Amino acid sequence: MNESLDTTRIEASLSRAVRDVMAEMAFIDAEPRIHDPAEAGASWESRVAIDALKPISCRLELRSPASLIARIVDILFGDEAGADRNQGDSILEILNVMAGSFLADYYGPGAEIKLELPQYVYSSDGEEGEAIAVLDFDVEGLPLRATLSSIRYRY
Amino acid sequence: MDLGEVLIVDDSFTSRMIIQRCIEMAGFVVGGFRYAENGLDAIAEIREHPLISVIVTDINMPKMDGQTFLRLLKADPATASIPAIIVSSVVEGSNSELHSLGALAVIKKPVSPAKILEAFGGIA
Repeated sequence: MNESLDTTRIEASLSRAVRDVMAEMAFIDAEPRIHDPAEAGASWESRVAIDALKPISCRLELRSPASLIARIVDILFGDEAGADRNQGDSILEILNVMAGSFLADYYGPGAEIKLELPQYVYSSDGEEGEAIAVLDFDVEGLPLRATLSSIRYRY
Repeated sequence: MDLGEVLIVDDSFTSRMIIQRCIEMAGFVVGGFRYAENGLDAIAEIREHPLISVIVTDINMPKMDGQTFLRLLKADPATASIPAIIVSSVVEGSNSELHSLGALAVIKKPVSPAKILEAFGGIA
């Protein structure tokens, strides 16, 4: 039920959430850039997604090359013990916070937000819903794509 | 200010480390950090380490979420007095419920030393 969504506001809220959370959690700049639908999928080695159940049902997905994840882990942990073992966790937590920030920004304070746990996506296999917004970012030379879509449930 | 032993409950390693760093950067003296990945593990950790004096917990976790954990924590006379601070990306609209469950403060992620300082200010 996304008919009443304001796409312009959605894109603005999502862009703010991506930029703010990348800056505040990963200490890295994410600059919006022109979306190129034809961009090679080969660079999207990492795909993580989180489903929101309230206030709307939607999925936020981040795609990036593995080198961006490695850079974030290096910034956060360096050579700290446990960093290698847990490096896949960093982008999941960033996505989790990003989704909460985006929904709070779009719906305002007081909105009840319910999120599923973030997870890696290994195959789309027709599970992707309808895209609501697709935003591309330049993260200090590396690409990052944020896609907000409807959720296609399987029953 | 000496916080004693702090238990950080979050299913994300990244989040646990960021919270720990923010507590340290906020200038608190900490006797030691302990960690749990969900509410169930947190209860076991508290039983095993009775010197835990402050709890910082996420809400959205597998096995046992933060709200259930907080409810059990405050229902047990042995642990009811331990201050609990909620740190979560989904606290909008549910703050009053969390406070009524006994949360001392609610912090919206991303966490920062300033947010930690403000939240921990309520600990006597």
